[in-house]
Amino acid sequence: MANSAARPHVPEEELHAYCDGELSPAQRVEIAEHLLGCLICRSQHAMVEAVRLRSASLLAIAVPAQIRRGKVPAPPVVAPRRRWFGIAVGTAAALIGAVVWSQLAPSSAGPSGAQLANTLGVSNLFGLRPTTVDSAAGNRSRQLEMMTRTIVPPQMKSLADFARVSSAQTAVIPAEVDPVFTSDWTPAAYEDAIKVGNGSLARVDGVPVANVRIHPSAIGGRPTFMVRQQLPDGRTVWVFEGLEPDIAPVNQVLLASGITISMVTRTHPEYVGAGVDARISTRMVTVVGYLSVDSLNALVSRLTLR
Amino acid sequence: MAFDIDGLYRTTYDSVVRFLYRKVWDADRAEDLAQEVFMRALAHEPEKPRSWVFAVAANIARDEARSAIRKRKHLVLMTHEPMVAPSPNDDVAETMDHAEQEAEVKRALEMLSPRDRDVLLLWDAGLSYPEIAEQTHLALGAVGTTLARARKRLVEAHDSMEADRGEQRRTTARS
Repeated sequence: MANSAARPHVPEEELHAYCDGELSPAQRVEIAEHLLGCLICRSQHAMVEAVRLRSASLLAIAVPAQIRRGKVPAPPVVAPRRRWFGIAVGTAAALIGAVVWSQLAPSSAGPSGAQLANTLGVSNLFGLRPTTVDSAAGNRSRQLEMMTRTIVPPQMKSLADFARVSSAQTAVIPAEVDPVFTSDWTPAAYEDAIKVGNGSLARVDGVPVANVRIHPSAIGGRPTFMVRQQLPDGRTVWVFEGLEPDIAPVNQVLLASGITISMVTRTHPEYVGAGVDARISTRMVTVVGYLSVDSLNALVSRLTLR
Repeated sequence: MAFDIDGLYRTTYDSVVRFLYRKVWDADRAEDLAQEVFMRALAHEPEKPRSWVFAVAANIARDEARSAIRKRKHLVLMTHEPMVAPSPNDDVAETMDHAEQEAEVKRALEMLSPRDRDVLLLWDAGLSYPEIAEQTHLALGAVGTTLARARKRLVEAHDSMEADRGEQRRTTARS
């Protein structure tokens, strides 16, 4: 015991190795004996153990849901050559898609090809991309993309873009008041709103819907929906869903209000208008609330269209 | 000795997914990449399979990070089904709390140096000091030092974020 007490204090990294079980049996015995007789090292050992446990518990938070639920997929039994089979199938599908697309794709003269594709119901099948969206809509899309990155700090409210927003709108709105509200937003029962939305309406799955407001489309298409949902702890989130040109100004107002906006999701392209005026547009969906952006993005993963 | 992919998969799959997830922060992508790692293991039949899969996972994650910077995708195509099917047992509030906590851990991890982070993640994935030394090209004696520093910095970074958040709450409550 006298020998172990005379040993110099155990360095911190050695205590980590000791706690990690990475020392040889002889080293372990030596340190264990030293700890018995050295108050300073015992205290240091307790601190190391606390840091080890704390860091392990922090890392345990960053684990994918599938692993947390204990779902492990079957091991790979596919021989490498079968991957070539997959590539071959993919290539064949792409070639078929390309041939059909060459037959159906709109010419530079207008959207007739895409319209035909839509009529035949193949647009989703072959993943047709919007081709007649105007550049302004494209710009708005990029703007929306930028808006998803961060919560705009209060000092940005003075930007010229937001100058038209009234002081009432820039104030922090209590959770019980809808973040965007004018007389144009008509209240509707949830079931009625679904009918107006032709059977589909974006909402966060598993969260009760408190009410819905509907705003007419400025471009004569599907209206914009504001679905208010109540979380179990009483906090409120709103799901905004509408055509891209309609939702952009709504998002501007939301952004200026200081409320947090989730990342933006969008649906498959849809046609707006008819004949030569037909344009392809997409439905944009955001979740909004007085919550952290991480919480809202977590809710985005639960978005569903009924 | 015959290469035992089933045994390797059973004993390391979770660790590989966890390791990759903390690199790419996308659960589905982490699983895809883990499958890719095991496919490669199947083709190579490495001598030291355990450390080999983590070496490959680290390389794949590095390549993934480079390509993610090139094509950052904020817009996600939404189909008529939930994008991620939530488990019926998932509580919404719990999901949100977890997302917040995870974001904090992610930020804390990002405050570590790449070497410290790698050593910490490899240790948490279950690699021994000699295996970590081999993979990170550190001297065996340096692994303990690096790991001790990494753990301490992770905890300090997280504590500092918690303190900031507490201060923000107090300020909000006062105003």
